[in-house]
Amino acid sequence: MKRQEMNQDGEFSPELEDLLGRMPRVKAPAWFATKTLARMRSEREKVWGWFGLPRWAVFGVGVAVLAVGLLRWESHQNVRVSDAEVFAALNALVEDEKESRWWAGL
Amino acid sequence: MSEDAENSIDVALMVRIGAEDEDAFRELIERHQDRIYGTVARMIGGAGPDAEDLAQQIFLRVWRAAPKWQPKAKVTTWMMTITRNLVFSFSESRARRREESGESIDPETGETFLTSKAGVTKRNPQEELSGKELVREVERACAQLPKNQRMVVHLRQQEEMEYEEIAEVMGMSVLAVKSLIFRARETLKIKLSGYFRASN
Repeated sequence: MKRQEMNQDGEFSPELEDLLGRMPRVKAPAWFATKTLARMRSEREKVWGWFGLPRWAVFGVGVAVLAVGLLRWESHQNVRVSDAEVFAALNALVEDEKESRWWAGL
Repeated sequence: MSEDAENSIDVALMVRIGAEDEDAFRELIERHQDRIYGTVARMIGGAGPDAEDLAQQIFLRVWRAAPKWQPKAKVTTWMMTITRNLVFSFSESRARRREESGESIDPETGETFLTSKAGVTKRNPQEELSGKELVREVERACAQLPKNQRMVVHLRQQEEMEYEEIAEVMGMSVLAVKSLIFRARETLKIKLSGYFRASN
């Protein structure tokens, strides 16, 4: 039987220290660096959206534009025009019509 | 090349990586991939897809952290700290998953059995072992150590790191590291007692 020495103080012998040091080192698989770089690039693409801006920024700008549009749309819906203003506008059209006919020699 | 010179190269690479230099990132990976992958594999019980995924995650963290990275410690020490954090949280989540699925948990360490204990316990110690077989037995015994002890033994024996560096990686005092190594040796002494003879 192959036996190794062990010191009385509980420390392993130099032989065992040597065995611990000789445990085979596991090497990284082939193409590890290439695969890691590819993964880094794909993760970076996930984070970055259009125009070189982060996705969250693009999304935020989109939401802001929609919100402003909606508010403006609603403010147009609430416009109230008095009857007098409508009649004044119609009269102006009639005046325009008269003027056009005069210029046309009718 | 001296450790300081090696670290200077790593620092220069980190600065370039901070500026999103992919060539520098590739160089850093190629310089440290065996060390990182080897440590991960040793810690999670062997090489394979999990080890590759974790090792890649470590390098991705390096890439993400590079723009704000400051050379407070050696690059290898910093990378080993990232390795420890990721590997420990992986081991814990795996232990939880296995506990939930009813797999056996080591009562002493609170961990699952990473490798078969049969390799050490069932083998007849009286038989002649070649050097390679003996190394394999030591390897199996190391794989059964609690994760803290396994990590410090690996960093000390395989990576040949100083106690101060190991303490930084593990986030503990030098004294605590020495104590962990002593306890690991005691555990290995018991596990491998059949192959070693006490000298009186």
